[in-house]
Amino acid sequence: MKKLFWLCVAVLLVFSLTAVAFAGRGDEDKAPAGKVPARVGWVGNYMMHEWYQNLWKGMRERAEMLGIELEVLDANLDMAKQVSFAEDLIAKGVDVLIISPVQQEGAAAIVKKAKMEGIPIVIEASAVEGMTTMVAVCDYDIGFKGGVATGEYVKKNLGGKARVMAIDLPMLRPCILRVDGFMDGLRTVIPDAELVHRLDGQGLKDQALQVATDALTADPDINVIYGCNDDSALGALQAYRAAGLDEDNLVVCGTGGEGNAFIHAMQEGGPYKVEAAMFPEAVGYEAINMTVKLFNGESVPEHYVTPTLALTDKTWDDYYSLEGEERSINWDNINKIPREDKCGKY
Amino acid sequence: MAPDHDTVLDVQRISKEFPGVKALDAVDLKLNKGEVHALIGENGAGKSTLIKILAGVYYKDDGEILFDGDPVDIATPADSLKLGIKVVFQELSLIPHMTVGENVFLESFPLKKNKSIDWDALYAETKDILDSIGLDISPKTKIYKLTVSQQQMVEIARALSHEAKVIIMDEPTSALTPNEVEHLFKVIRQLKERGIGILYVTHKLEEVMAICDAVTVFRDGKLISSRNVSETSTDELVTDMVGRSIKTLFPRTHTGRGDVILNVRSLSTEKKLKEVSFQVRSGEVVGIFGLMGAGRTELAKALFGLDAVQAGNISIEGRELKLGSTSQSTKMGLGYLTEDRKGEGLVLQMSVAQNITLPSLEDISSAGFIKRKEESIRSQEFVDVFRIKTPSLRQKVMYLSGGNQQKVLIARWLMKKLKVIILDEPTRGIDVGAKAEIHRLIDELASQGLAVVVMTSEMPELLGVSDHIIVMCEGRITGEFDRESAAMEKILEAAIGQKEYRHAEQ
Amino acid sequence: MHSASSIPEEAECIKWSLAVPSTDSISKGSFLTKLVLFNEIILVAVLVVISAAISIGTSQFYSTTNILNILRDSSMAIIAGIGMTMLLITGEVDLSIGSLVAFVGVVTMDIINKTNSVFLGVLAGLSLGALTGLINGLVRTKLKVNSLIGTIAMMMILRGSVYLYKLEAAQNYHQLSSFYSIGNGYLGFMPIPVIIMVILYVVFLIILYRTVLGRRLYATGGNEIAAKISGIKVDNLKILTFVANSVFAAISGIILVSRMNSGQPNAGVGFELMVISGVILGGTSLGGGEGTLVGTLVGLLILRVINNGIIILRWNQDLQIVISGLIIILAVFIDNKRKVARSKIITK
Repeated sequence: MKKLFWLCVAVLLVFSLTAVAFAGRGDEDKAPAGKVPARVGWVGNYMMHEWYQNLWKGMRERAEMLGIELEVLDANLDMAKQVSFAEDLIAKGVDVLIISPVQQEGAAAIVKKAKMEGIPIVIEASAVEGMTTMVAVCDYDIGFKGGVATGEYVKKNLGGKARVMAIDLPMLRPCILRVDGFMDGLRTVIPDAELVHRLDGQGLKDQALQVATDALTADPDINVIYGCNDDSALGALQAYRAAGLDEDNLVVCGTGGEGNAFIHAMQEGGPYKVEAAMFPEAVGYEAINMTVKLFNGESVPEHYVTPTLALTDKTWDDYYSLEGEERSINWDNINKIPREDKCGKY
Repeated sequence: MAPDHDTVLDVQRISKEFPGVKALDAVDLKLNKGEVHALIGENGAGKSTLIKILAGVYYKDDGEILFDGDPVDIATPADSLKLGIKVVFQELSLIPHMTVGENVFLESFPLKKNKSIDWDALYAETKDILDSIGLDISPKTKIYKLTVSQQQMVEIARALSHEAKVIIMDEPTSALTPNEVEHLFKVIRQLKERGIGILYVTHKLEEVMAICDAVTVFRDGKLISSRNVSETSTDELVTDMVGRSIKTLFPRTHTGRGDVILNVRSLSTEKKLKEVSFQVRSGEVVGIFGLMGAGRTELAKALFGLDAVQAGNISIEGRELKLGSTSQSTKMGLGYLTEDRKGEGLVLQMSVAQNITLPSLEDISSAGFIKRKEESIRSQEFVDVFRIKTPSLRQKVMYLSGGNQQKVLIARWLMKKLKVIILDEPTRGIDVGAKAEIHRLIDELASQGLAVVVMTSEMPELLGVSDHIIVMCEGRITGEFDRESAAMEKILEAAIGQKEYRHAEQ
Repeated sequence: MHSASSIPEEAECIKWSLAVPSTDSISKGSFLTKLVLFNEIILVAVLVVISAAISIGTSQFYSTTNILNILRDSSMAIIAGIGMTMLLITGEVDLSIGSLVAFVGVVTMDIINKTNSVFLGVLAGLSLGALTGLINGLVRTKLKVNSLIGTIAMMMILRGSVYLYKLEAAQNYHQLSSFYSIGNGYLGFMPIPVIIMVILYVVFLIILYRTVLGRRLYATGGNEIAAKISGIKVDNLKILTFVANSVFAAISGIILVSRMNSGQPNAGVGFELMVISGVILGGTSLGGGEGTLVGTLVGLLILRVINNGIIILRWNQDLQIVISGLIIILAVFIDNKRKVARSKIITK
């Protein structure tokens, strides 16, 4: 009798442990198992940018939800500052650090230091040597998704023929991946899609405007515009309009969704139909989740992929709502988006 | 002339042509051992070209050069140095951060057996040479710490280290004080005694008369005359240089004394001037003399409003002048011809006409638009009257010779209908012919009733143009003289602060 | 070493006294010399050659659309170039115009959004420009800070301040048509920015070459002390020129915000360098006292045409900077040779 009792207890224990382990996955909205760090510090690298403003918002919201005290410092593109801020935070006694590296090589020093002090560290955006984990989007994959969605629109509304002008930022590998992904995704729907122009817009709206103007003079029959970020897409769209070309023959896909510009563009009802959204708020959200995991000593993947999705003019309001200039995010729907285990291309 | 076997340098029928221009036309020159031979002529006469040929910088087209009786070929500067010819240019060629010794032996370091530099020998030999020319400084001193005069001596020492037989000096006294000039002359006399032949290129005729034995005059690339100094006079030399007889270097037609126009009372500035007071009358030329650092240029700048004034006041025709404002000074009829005509006077990229009319633009414009025709007419008047040599009114002034540039500046102020004009070193670096013309213009200015202030460091000019002389020393007035009572010694005494000569009446 | 081509000073002195024609007319110099002395003609030739070469490569270069695009796009730089040319002539420089363009764009768009009035928005933008120029001028004349350093500081201040003013881009809320037409509209077949540019260009061409003010600008840059001695109020003139320069940059900024349809805080990056490159390519000297609006026009057009040509020829876009850089080096090289040739015939 005693043996059977203890056997049942053992089986029950095994079951409940397994249940807990499985429960932790996929259901991020619940309070995570285990303890929650009291204080988390984040050293950002360029908070002025819309992307990071929104990322911060997501971080804040999640930290509030979990009752974590969040301290934020901005290194403002200065690697030395980032190192000293990180050291300050460690000295102040944060439980977990989050770093958005100014520079990958420089940040390796911070990783080392944190390891020495026994402070877990989450990297956001770009891989750093010696890191435990990184929370970031998959650039290739989001480009791909955007390409697929755009391809479907072209098939349905533009006669199935795609002549593409892509505004890229060749200096940054993530952008190159996005454009590559876009074309690959587009070609799954429209195999003979042609990349007529691949231009360097430096990620800036005014530059994109200028180079797109010239390209459209050479090839006015372009009917797909892809921008590796929203500004690039919007600048090229302006060029298209200024050239007096017919907007009904055009579809525009932007990437990122870092600010509200794309929402306005979609609301206009113009050719801007697809947004390869990277959900900065979700990146912040997941970064906080990751701090909890690390704090609890859980094993984590080296790259945790945050959710990305190709939004269209019909679906964007499932995930975002806009009041004046303030946008808010629908966490339930975001958390339902499946995440890749790892990226299609690095 | 001295007998032939004493001739160290014999230049025969040397010619040199450049595109469009014959710089030297079959000139001859004989330089004897121990002789100081002056080479004079207007700018462009050919002196520079000949020197550069002797230095190996240019190569002759025609003619022969005999050195110590033997024909030689000077194709490079190294050839020239090997022969024993050393040129001391106006722009000294010393290396500022090296020592005296290093510079003296720059091309010929004494070496030890193992081919390393024998520094002891170097400095010892340098000291010997320096002693021989009376330069009492340590041979280890760095060049940039020396005065210009001392640097010149180092150049001479360098020549001596090469055992020069001929030393060519190009405008040696342009940057020296009277004392330093005296010292230089002493050294030259020593060099003479050692049998070194010296070619002395200069504009200053009084120096020719003072130190040189023979003088050769070039004009337009040709040899005009070659005489012993004892057998000629300044006037004769000037006539040779210019090609026409200049009655006098200092014409005077103005009569002199009208009302007091400029009244300066107890002017003091923070750095230099101490209670300077003087008056200038209409039609009067006041010459202001002083050594370097006496405060002449500071006075001009203070008068004109370029520098701040601590105390004192200035009035023009009885009306008080607002200090420290150049536009006010200009409005009240004050004009200032700067010492540094290129640096502060002319706008080099602008044309002759544009420079002349610069302060008078309102007079030749209507509703803000410049009347070009009137500008041309007015400036052409000046070009004609002053004989400014320029191919056209539209020629940029940077292409004009120094004398003509100066004329442009004077024309500028004359166009302005001034009451007072200050001329700071108006004939510095200008050849004799042009000098005379500028003195004529100064006279003209006074005749027209202006109050003229001329600041100069050239004694003959001072004595020649001034009605009234003021001497400054260390920012104070230490001497005042009338034309009649002026004497060079007294002026110099006041200038070095030894004595003060105040006028009884003021 | 004994080259006959190096003319000594005194030889030239004699030459002039024989009344050789001035450099304004065709001189007796060698062909190379003549070429070198007429800087603007070389530039025009370069522009023509580059345009011809591109036309051979593709028929689309010489089409109405493309030419108008080039003109419309260059008008922003050329308008800013007018101001920059005048500023350089006085011996000063302004590196803050890129940041100013961004700030003016954001402010203009924002004020239009808030007041629904294009007029007020444009007024706000121009006022910001004038204020910036005034500060630049005062920093230079009263604080005596070198204009290179002073305007770099202003560039940083403006670039930072635009984010303090508004963190995101300012979108166009009211879509007013008059606002849209500033940058995108036409008068007849001429784009409006081009018309604005032509008017400003002609007006200031006259001012620079025909008025007392223009002459004084050249004098101030050519020799500041000589200008002062001639009674020119140098400080006031410089302040005025700084203000004008910034207002011109503000006009460019307003045209840009209309074309972009939003005020971007990150606009105008590198604009100042491009404008200054074009102006110097055109023959204006960094040292002051020399400058030509014709040169600025041609210089900026050359840079724009190169960029345009590379894209429509479908060459690698990285060549844009490379070729522009080479042309600039070539132009500065020729300019230096020109200056040396000139100085070789300076007499004492």
